[in-house]
Amino acid sequence: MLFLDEMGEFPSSILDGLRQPLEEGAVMVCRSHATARFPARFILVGAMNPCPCGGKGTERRCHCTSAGIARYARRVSGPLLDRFDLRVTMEKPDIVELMTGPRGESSASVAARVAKVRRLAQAREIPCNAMIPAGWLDELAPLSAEAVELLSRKIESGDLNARGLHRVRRVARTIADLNDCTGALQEEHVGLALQLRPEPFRHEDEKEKVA
Amino acid sequence: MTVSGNGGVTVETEEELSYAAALAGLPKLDPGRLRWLMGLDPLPSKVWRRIADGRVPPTRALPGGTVSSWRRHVASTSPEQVMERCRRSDVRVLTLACPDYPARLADDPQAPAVLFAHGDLGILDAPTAALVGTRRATGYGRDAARLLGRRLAAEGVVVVSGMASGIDVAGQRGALAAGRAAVVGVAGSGLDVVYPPESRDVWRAIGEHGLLLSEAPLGSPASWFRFPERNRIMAALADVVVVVETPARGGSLSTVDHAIRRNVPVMAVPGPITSNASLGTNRLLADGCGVAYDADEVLVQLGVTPRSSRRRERDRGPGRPEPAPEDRAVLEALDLTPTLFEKVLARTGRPALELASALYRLEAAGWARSGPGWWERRVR
Repeated sequence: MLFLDEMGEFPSSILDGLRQPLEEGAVMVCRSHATARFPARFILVGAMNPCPCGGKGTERRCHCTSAGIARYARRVSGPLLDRFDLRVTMEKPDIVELMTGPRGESSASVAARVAKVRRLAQAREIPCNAMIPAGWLDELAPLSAEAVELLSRKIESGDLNARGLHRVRRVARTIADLNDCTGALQEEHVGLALQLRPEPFRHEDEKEKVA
Repeated sequence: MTVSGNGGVTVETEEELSYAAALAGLPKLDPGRLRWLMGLDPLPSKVWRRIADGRVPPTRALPGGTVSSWRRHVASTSPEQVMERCRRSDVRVLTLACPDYPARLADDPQAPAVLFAHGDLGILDAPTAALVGTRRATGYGRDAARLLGRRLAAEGVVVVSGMASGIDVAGQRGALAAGRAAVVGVAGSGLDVVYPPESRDVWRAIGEHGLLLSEAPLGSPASWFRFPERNRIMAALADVVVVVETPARGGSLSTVDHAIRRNVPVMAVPGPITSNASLGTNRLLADGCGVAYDADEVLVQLGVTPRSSRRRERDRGPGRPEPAPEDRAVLEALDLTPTLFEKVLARTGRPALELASALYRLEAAGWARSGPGWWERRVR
């Protein structure tokens, strides 16, 4: 696993270098007389603020201009952002809650769930759901009619593109597996998958254009 | 058209207008200076000559450096080319001597000496309302602006605004959607410089069906010092100024100042007391501004009688389908401002799968709106 904190601070050349291993699971090093292929399958975790001042969407108001947010968002290229399966917006935790709130689930119980879903994937002859080839999605992750409708709406409104569609399906497959539903993906599975992968930087004014 | 010299009343020729347009492009200029400059002689061509010949009287307010930069500009600029550029972009140049110069502005003590216009000037004969507010608008503010814009335009009121992000552009989009009355956009940049880029669709629509105005010559970028000046033009054009949403400090408050000075009535839209974005508007209400809680209130202020309520219902557009009973509780858990999904989860106590479905159903029916990881309730 590779965790990049403050992803926007990395030089774009470094971030661009991640695309090949993310897409192909390997890094190719080419020299004039030989090519070497290094397996490089990994989980990439990135963290970033929603805007340069860090106040967007929180009670403390955001002071950024739309140009400033756009500049900040561009530090991580669109194609790289697209390759994330999950893009979760999180809240700044409340100090009191952190100290006194209920403890989360134990790692052991979470690990048991992860193991169960991985076994389901292996029964489908793939190492894990994230690696379902696009061509197999219709067979392994079929969609119910309502699920198709929800996805179509999101594609039409521009909230989802083709690459995103495949990723949402894989995530929905895992959500369904976690809920003991191994058949067709229902609207609720797709809904939660969408909820976990919205477009991270989008200016509100852009959404409401006059025809 | 002929030029007459009696009583200082002149009717501008194309040639004189080209000099006027070129004068508007002088460096280190502000509206007051341009007015003073154009006041030196009834003919813009003569003012141009004066600058070229170094016969601009020095005043304390006018540093020598400025006057020399003007001489240099005059020496290197062709008024004919400036005018040609305007013609190519279908932009008219107007001065106070033109019969078509907007009457509303002509009487203004700070009338723009040179105005650039694209579109139908006749639009300004109808009642006008300026819809202004903050660039950092909330969903509530945008919805309110759009709603007011649409209702006012449906009743034949011309909506005037600055095409800035946020409230301005939301109000104009609402007005354009009504399709009945025209819309006026006053720009801080030259009419060929679309700013901000997000407003491009509005610029285009107003350019085709409405009226675009600017004091800035073609090619001028949107500089920060042009916006307060642009605001005075909006106030001067309006029969009423409606501030939809603004925090305690905001550019739209300068529009309010200009309106007050011109005895133009000001109204404000009330906002949630928890919303910082409405602090300025709520304060205006506390200070005694008219309350624009409904388009009807603005129409009353304008002296426009609303049409029958049945036709108004049709204008409101198709109503939203009622939310399913099990989704009502989820809707209640949403605010008019963004709330993170996790928080909504905690508020409703529903399982995540169920909640996500309910939220997307509400969104499809027009009751909710989403952004990265957050949800809010839609006003309209």
